[in-house]
Amino acid sequence: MRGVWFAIAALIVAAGAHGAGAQNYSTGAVNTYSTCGLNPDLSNRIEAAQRFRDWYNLAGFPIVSRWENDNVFNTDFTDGPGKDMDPGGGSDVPDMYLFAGHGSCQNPPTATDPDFVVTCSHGAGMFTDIGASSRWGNAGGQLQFAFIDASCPMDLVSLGNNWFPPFQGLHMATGHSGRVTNDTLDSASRPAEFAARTIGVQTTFLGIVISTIPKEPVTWAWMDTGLIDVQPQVCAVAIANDATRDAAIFRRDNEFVSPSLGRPSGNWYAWRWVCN
Amino acid sequence: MKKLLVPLVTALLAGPNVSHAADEKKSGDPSPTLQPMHVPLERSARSLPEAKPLSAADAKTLKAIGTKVFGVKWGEKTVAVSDRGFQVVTDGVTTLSHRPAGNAYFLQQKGKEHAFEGRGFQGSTGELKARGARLLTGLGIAKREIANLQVLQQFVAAGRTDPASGRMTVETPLSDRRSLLVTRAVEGIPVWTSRLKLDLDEKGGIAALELSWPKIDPKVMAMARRLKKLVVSGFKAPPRAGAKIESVQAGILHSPAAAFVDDQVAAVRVVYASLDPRLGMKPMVYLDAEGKPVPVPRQLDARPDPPTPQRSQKEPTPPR
Repeated sequence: MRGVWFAIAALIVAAGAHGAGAQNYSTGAVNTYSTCGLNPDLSNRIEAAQRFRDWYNLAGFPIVSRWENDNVFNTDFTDGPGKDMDPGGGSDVPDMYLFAGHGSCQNPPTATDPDFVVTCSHGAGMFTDIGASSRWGNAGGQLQFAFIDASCPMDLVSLGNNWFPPFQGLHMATGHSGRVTNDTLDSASRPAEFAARTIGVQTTFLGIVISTIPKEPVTWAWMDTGLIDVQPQVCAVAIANDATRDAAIFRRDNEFVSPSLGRPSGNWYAWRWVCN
Repeated sequence: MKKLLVPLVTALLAGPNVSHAADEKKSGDPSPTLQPMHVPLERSARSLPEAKPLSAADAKTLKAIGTKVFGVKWGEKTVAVSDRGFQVVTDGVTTLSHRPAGNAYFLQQKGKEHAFEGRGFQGSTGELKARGARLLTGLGIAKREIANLQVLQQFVAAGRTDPASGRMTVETPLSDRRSLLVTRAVEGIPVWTSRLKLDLDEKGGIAALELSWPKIDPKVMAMARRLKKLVVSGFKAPPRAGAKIESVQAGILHSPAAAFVDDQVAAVRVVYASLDPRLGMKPMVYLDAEGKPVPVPRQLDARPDPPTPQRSQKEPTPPR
């Protein structure tokens, strides 16, 4: 038990670099896939990302990039210099990244099936295999929170294969588990509802800080909003990484986007999910 | 005057359950709490908008709702303010906020850091549902508007990768917290945004609550009835390349609880399914009687970002 609290205390000490309001963020939203020969197009991903940004802008979080459609490059989610580390919009550059676009489902998924984010850039579609290609927090990468608002990007049955490897300094990730027939809908509002709860809204009265809209740790914000506009049997999933089992569980259930905990390192993962 | 008022208000709120900073650690706490970088109150408060005091009558009414409907046992001293359309009452541990225009409520009992600590409600599914139904009745919401009472079960799991062998092990998932989600229909027409989300603590008190259940504008209701008839008689949803129409339904949308504005609209919701099994995310649109898109109700009155320029770095075409 003392080891648990020591690990948690270490997280706290290491959190100093990212205090309240210091996190920056990016969004990448794709509606148009038909220019890459992929259909159907989506209608609401770009608006969903805008509404997400509205809340983070209200809270004063600095934005790094906010690319749309073919400006979300196919390499933005692939590990490497000039790819996810592209200072112009790579997903490992900011502290937080929201992707809103297509994913790819199986029917049903199996333990060895990949999870994807799907982009369409420069006339070519790209199914980025998260487990094989995405690594966040390594080689100078900054990403702490990966919010993947796509379809089936975090299937429970294959979570270990697809989501353990990308954690290379990443704190937490959120997504959905589903299948072709039971899937996530193209919601204009779900990412924004999630954003509102991750940052909350506070006011002050004679020096006292009061919550108008409660601020919740990432996992609880996702448990509260991840089932908005999803079909039955779709699950909202939140996963965290850390050095020990107890530290991963603590981070999963207690980490806020800001102030966040210290950078994790280690081979333990803890996740929470709720299904519609 | 302000210099005098601050210590006065401070004195009013003094007590073990009230803190001025969001994550103030209590002295003598045996276990280290999560205290990620303490932000000095003065700096954080300076960057926040200033609320106005709530009228005594409104404060009394809101506190009474807290007590009679939500079972809140208020601390000795409370502060009541008005902020951007919300009325808020707090004793430093429990905070109840209400946006009258949208009939929206947030209630959270703060633990050491947040409302979701501890085991959560251990009673039966029936008790949880009954509690939600009673709560809605207590707020004057008609039982006939309850479309569904759904208990959502959360699960947790942990796993690791052996660094030497690369072998992954995953523990058996465990059931964890349950919450209640209540949805709404008026005259059989779904009100998609309305909901009660209820999380109880282990003792059955409210750990967290979110309610959005506004009175539907008669014009919106009239349009919803018209759209329902249109759907029944054969609403022609527009085709979409690469997709088939999966469902067509008339309903009502409104701004959610987490909002500073109150929009309402009746719409036909069309959900499409992809014909290409590789692509997930089902397209969904909201349309008016003529089949034109209707705007989804806002949460904020925000200026949209200007269009972005073409991203400058040229990307080599990667293999698929």
